[in-house]
Amino acid sequence: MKARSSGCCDWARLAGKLTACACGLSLAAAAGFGQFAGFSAASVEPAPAVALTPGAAVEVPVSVRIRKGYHINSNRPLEDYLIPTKLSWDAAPLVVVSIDYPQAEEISPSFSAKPLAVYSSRIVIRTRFQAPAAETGLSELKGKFRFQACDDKSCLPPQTIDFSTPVRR
Amino acid sequence: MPNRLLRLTLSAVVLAAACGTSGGGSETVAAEAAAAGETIWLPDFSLKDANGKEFTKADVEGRVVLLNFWATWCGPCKIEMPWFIDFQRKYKDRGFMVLAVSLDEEGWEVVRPFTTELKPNFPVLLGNDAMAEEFGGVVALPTSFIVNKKGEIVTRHTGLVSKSEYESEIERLL
Repeated sequence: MKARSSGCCDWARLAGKLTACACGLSLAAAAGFGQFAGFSAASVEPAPAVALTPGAAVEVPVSVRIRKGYHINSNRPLEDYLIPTKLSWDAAPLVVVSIDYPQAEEISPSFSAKPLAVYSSRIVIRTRFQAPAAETGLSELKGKFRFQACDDKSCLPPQTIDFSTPVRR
Repeated sequence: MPNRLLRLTLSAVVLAAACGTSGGGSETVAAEAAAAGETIWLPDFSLKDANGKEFTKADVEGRVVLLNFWATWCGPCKIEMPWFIDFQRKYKDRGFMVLAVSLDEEGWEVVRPFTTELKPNFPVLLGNDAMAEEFGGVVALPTSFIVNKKGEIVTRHTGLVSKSEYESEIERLL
């Protein structure tokens, strides 16, 4: 067997002890393809409850943690073939006024002749909602976070994470 | 089950990825299988190209095969494609063949423009869950399998490896 990077996991041990490595395995994200196993390079962090005031605007931050060694495409990738990061909401009757993505960093990975606009480590995406004049009765705001991650040698499939932000009454 | 060991090792790739590594690397499947007293054979498959022409395991029997899983959204995959065109041109007459299997969810709608531009000299096929499962699941792209003339899977590469590494393997098997 040829050498391979191992991190905290040794390949030989892995073959016999697939569940033994305590490295914070995250299986939360829904992969776009069934054949890709449920590994996710990013996770949406739990958000504090949002207070809604009838008729007022409110800003909701969504924090996303990106696994070390990986990047995800920004919401405006520099290449057409890349899948952009996208946050979407199912929060009616609230109206989405704006979704502000953070500024991307430009990297030049070995696999790309052109720079890529990406996010890494941790990002915060801020959504501004307008609440209707009447009480909404909402107990949570449901969202979807879609992204596609790569490291410097390989890419994971596009994934969508369903999440919710509680609404404080 | 022929691909039992593949399932085992690919599962380990998943876990390696979970541990903060890419999960990438090259594995000498034949050596692992031999150690376990098994041979890992190329699974049966039946996939179509953009023109609807069907390709099966029978179409590649007796050849050294580089079977590559890729997708249009995968940057590292695009680095390899020109290499594969070179390999196909250089080694085709010696019993070598590249098969590129796209795992794009959107299918030919996104794959066809890419292949129109690339003009591959090897079959580009559209993959599916069933086929990827037969190969033990695909955890990251690109993933390539090298198959010898007997139909035995010799090596699996997960992630980008060097052109010279592929080439030396192909030369060795021809």
